[in-house]
Amino acid sequence: MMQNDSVRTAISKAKDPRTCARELRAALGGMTPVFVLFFATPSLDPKALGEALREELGDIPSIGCTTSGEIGQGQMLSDSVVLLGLGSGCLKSAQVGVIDAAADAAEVQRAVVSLAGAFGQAPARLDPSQYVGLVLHDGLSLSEERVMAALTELTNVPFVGGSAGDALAFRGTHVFHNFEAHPGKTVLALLEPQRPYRVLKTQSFEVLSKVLVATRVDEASRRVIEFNGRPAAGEYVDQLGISLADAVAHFRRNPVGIVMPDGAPFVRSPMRIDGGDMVFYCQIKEGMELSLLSSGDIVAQTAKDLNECLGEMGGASAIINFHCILRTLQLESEGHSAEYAAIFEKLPAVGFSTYGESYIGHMNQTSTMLLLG
Amino acid sequence: MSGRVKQLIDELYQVRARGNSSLEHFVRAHLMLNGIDPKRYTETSPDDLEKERRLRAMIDEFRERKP
Repeated sequence: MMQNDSVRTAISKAKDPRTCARELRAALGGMTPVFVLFFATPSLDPKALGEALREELGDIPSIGCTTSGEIGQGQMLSDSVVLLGLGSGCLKSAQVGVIDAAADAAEVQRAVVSLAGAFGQAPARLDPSQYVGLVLHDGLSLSEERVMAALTELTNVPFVGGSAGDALAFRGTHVFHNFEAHPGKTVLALLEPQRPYRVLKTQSFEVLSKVLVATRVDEASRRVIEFNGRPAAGEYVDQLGISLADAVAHFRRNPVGIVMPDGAPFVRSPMRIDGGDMVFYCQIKEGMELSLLSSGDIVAQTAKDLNECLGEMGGASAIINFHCILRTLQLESEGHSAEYAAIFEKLPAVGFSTYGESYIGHMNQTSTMLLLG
Repeated sequence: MSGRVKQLIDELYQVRARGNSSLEHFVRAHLMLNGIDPKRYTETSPDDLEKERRLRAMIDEFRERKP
């Protein structure tokens, strides 16, 4: 895979944790990373994998998570572990932390104060041109919005990341903090890159003119009871001009989005209809104005946005791609997975299929990437 | 009274972004994702005590950590 003094990426498809950890260590060669990030199939026992990686890699600051598919070496993978080692040529320093997924704002604050303190700074004083954060959530915790709101209120440094997966079993996900596997936690990393970085959030949707205002919701359960003062599911299908029986078939093609002034939506994807309610993969707050969206060409849009970003940066030394599982499923159903993965073939990229992406808030159906210069 | 929510949104931009358009976008997106859409508020918008409390907390939280 991509090998240079600053960045090394590695893949193992070994069926047991010890062999997997040995293969990944070998792929790093003689490099001593400043920071290690990895995304792991849930088919390997998380605790055993973490222990084996710690045995091989020692005390290197590290975070990781389980997935619903991995991305590396220009391939959409499954049953693998992909690992990114960032050396001193890429990163000056990295600090990592872990909090309960149920953490309140005060606990998030304590964690971020501790991370920033290691750089001799208060969170609000961290210069976002000098630092960037990574965040990985338990993907079944429903905690992402709360944690992201707390992080974004504390600092101008963006935290980029995603929600751990479990290969669509929806039984349990794990995150790793310094190679220790945890359910029910959120892991954070604060990185000090050597060169400027960029965050790219790309999605492939046309914003339609039809607007749904969430007039009655249950935020905690990500449930919308009413859109535009009418039962949510009925209003969704009426606005699309489809029957209720066809609604589920439209979820992936026609999610809703909070549209920013630059026209880019933060996508909220419907999960299911429950009576007249709609349950989403992201929280929708009462009073939110959402636009109906219509899906476009994921491969073409991603390639365009990534190439523009790389052109502006003059290239990237590493790319971390948090890629929504719903996009993975759409690419599979349309037969475009290989084309999507090929976008990254000649790039030092790793990623995984998430249960939601994180940047400023929590969202769906994006590829949200950190590009390190 | 009116216009207090817009006033606090502007104050939040000033405290956090200081004229940096990228940071303004960052703060605006954060507000919109948390149910406060800045474009809905003008100098004549009715005051909203709950939103004012949340915005004041955001401003204070950030200010307390600035030297």
